[in-house]
Amino acid sequence: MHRDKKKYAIVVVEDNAGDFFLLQDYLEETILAPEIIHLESFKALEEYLTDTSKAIDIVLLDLSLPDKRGEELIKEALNIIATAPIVVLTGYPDFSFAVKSLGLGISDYLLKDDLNAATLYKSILYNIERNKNVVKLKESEQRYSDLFHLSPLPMWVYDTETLQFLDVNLAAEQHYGYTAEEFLQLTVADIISEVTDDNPLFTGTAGESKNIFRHKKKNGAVIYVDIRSNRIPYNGNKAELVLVNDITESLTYLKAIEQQNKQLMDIAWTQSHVVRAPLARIMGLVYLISDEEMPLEEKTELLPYVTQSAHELDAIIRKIVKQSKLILPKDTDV
Amino acid sequence: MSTPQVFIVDDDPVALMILKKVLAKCDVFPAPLSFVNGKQMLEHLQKSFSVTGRYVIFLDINMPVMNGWEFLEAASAFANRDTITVYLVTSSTDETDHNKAQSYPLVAKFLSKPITLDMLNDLQ
Repeated sequence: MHRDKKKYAIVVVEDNAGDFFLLQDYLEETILAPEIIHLESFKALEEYLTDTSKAIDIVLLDLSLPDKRGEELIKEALNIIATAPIVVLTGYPDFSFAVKSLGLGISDYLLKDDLNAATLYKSILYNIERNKNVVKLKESEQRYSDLFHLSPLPMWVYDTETLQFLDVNLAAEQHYGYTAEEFLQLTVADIISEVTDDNPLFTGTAGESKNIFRHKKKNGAVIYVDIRSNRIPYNGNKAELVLVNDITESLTYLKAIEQQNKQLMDIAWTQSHVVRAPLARIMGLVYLISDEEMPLEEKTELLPYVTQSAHELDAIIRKIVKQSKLILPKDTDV
Repeated sequence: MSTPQVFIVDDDPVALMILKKVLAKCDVFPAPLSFVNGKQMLEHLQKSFSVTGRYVIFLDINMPVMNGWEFLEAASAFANRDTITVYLVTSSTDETDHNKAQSYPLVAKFLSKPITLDMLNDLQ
């Protein structure tokens, strides 16, 4: 018979010498050179796993060991065996327990009485291959979980019906000051600030304003946030995944700039309307005085108006300089 | 065509005097009458307005009581360009004022102070 030439590292935890002998026989019948590690108790398995750094392909686990048995054994074995699949071997057919143990995370449940070389080989081969995918899936889940939990921007998942927080990431905890446990006790409504102000983003009908919310942190500080969200099924709940961008600082800058713009526009208006009035008078007077036909006395009469308008212009310019200094930052040279 | 009656409306006495002196040198706009706000101008027109008359008004924009815009609104109700020709005279160089002036059919031209003889001659 053709025998598998791959090198399998197979841990067999079996205290019954007869059963072990049979297993070894079956294994050697289908695998050319299996590396069989024979252990006789849960304690021995524990010690072996602590001592070795060697990769194991599969664990064949007898369900009644002298120091541990049944469900307890399965649970603890799953705890200490990192990634290798576990195939349970038992002498007692117990269908409901078989189903339950598969639910706990073991890969297969085999009855010793039904066993032969072919069925054992098939189970070993199938479960090793299937486990590779399970491990990949677990790694992928971990990666996506990390993308959520380690995101530098606050993120959370909330139930769209109860508004309850279902999951929050580290950045959200740090930004809002609530621990994850505290967050899970809150609803989205609890972090919305009731404070009202005249921020145009909240009164305007601008298309973007629907994404902007006023939130309050645990310490009561109010922040403005730009919220982006997507629907996501979460443990059977209708939920939304929310990404939070704190724009408080940008808004503060925006407000300051808008205020400055208004003041600059005031100055521009003054330039055009107030400054130009006395200047236009001076220009008009100078135009009249330049007329060679005008008698000297008449020119002399006009001169005081020139002086008066010049003083007026001077006063206005001083006022504008003063105004400009008020709106520009202190350390700016005017 | 009858000789137009000429008016100057400006609250600034110096500006008023300058414009009067320039107009005096120009033959086209003789013997101007002056008012210090739009309301006085409007009241004068309401008393003496005739649809066969010709009126030329040098109108300042920024004035107390009734400014140039308000006067234009009121005058548009009873007069058109066949009777009243308005020259908006202002020290403003503001674009928005300039654009706004174009929305009043009575306004023939937007003039930035100071008004010179050349500018007046160009109006003919």
